[in-house]
Amino acid sequence: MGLSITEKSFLFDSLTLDPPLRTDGRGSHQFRPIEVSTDFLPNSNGSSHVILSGGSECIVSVKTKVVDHTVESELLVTDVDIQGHRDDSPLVTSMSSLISKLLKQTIDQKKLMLTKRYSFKLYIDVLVLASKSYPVSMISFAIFSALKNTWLPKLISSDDDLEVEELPTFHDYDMVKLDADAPLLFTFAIVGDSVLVDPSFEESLVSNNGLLITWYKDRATSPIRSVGLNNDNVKGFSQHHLEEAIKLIHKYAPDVERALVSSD
Amino acid sequence: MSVQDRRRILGPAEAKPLRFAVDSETSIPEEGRTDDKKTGKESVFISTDLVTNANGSSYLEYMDGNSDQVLVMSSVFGPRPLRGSFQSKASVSIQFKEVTLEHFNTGEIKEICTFLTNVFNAVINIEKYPKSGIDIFIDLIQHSNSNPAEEENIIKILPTCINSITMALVDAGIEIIDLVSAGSVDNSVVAFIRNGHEIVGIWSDDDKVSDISRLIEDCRVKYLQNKQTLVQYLR
Amino acid sequence: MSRFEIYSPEGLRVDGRRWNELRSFNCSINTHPNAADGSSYLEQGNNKIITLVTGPQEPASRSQVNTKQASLSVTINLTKFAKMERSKSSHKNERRTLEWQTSLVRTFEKNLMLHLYPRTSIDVQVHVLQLDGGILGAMLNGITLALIDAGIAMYDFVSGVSVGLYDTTPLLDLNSLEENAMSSVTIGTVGKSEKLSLLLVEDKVPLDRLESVMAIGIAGTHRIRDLMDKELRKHGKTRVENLTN
Repeated sequence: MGLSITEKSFLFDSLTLDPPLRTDGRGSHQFRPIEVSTDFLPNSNGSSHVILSGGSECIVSVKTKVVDHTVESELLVTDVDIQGHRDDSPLVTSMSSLISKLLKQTIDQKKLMLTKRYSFKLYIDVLVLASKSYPVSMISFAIFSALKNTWLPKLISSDDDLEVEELPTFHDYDMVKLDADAPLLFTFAIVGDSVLVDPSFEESLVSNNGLLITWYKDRATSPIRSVGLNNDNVKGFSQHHLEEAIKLIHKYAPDVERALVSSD
Repeated sequence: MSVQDRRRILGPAEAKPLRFAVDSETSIPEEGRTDDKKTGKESVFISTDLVTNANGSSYLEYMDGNSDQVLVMSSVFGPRPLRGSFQSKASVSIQFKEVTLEHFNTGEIKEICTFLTNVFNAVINIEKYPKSGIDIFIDLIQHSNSNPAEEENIIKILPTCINSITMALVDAGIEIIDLVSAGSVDNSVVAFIRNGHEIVGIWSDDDKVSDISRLIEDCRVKYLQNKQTLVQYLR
Repeated sequence: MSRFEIYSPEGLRVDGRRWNELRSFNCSINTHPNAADGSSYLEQGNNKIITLVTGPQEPASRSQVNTKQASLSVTINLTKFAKMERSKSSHKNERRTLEWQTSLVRTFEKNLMLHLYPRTSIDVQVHVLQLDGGILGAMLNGITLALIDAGIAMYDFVSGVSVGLYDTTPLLDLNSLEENAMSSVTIGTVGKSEKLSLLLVEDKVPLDRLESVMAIGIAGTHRIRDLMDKELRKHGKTRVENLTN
């Protein structure tokens, strides 16, 4: 499914107007409506389901397991599965490498430690049911809401087991909320001279370039990437496009974060 | 949209483009080699047209002040006919040949490939080559790190890869809108064209980044140096 | 009664059901209207399944074109987090999953009017978010609902359930604990008839007991058919109301 040359040219022209005229009437800083539901999988410690109005959907499950961290140092496992793409396709591998690297940097592994010997190991599984536009933003939103709604069993045994070996025991029903800050990733499309947040599928087709910027702990931070939203309209962009994107993020990302936190 | 192109008569599968004898004035500039490890200066050695069965190839040796070494060879195959559905523009693919990549995980390599493909989609004049594929292979021959305690960082090799692909494309005679080159500062790489007025790719993993304009400015300085080296070689 | 007694002398199972009782059954259709042409969400006990149907559409490649009828494909995505313990490897290419896919395709090829859609493909994706026994039966129900939502012509409902045999007692709709403890069969019936569209026996079942097992299975699938029918009618009603308002 693609657009004809005429459709693309019309879309490109309307998007490069000042202010840009987007197909769904959004402003350049506006997101499409996002529907988030959490905690629907009793088998998982945390779960979230994000629906974008363009027909993209994503499910994230967070599962935990108690491991001996002196043996197993890797406490975070991220797995991305995108429907319609093979597991070894460039999109899936680069997406999962980007996200797992980012989560390893941002999630404080010390907070997963239970005792001096045992830790929780987090398994974050991402399932993208359908995606029309570049899915990374949606995935990061889903991971964010899943981690914000992850409940771990409460430890009742002593947390110092270095001398006296003791297996951790947990409370029968009391749970503790996981304290983790996940980063949010924002995608921008650069079309002509306009910088648009959250590009739809059609907008990605005509964009000249794409930008990926991370929002973490109230500031725009790395990874910052230029990403190809299509293969045949790619052009360079200038420094002020990048600055514009960062300005937009500083202005609107706090609102997005607040909306996601309040959604549960 | 999957319309098969029936109008084209495909040549035999093993067809090769015509090649003409080149003048035998092979004077490889040796200026790169003269700079030794001890000088503590950055040095680059460039050579092109090494791989005979590729349409274009280049070999770059890059050594930075701390004698970190990156040896990269790129070869360009194409433009060659693409079978299957009709495409009005060339499709560019960039891949690493396996060797010496054991330090990096495959996900990161794929990420780099996607990134490089996007950069070169922007600079290769792909409208010029309908129904064709341009395949670029990067061979990371050696990559040494002076500081073994430091984690292997894929970003270190990225600018050299970009420069090397640019040279290989020039050698293949494929139309590009400008010489792409990249500059890197700490954990960030920015690829520029048009004397640094246009960015074609940015890859930043630096979590301390506070001022994006500064970062771009710093990378631009490095870009201009690198580009100067490429231009000098081509002269 | 001990916790792990599969079937107590009083006639109660691990989750408190009697031998002929189904687990809680919840379903809804058109749950993912933007992501696919037809979709359903189904909970059968602790099984949670999302089914997405796309098509009839132009096949991805020329080789898949069938000039006589639509080509049907079923992909089962058993997620890594579906079980209680997270599985390390993906279940995509497991023999069991591939076998389920083939048996589901064969079942629905007989029950869909595929000859009405020549030169097209109909793709069904089943995502298992949570797994708790009798999954094949649940997938039959989920696919039926999603196909109905996609508006693809079919002869009748196909509904499925699993039945186990504990000693001499047949037990309807097994959960995973029970499934591991006894031999079971999965039955798929067409509508309210006694026509079997699918019968999967993976373990040994004594022949003289098979009849009673099938009888309770067929009764169970008829009940499920009614539950699905009720939900569909409710859904249809709200849609008509939305249209008239």
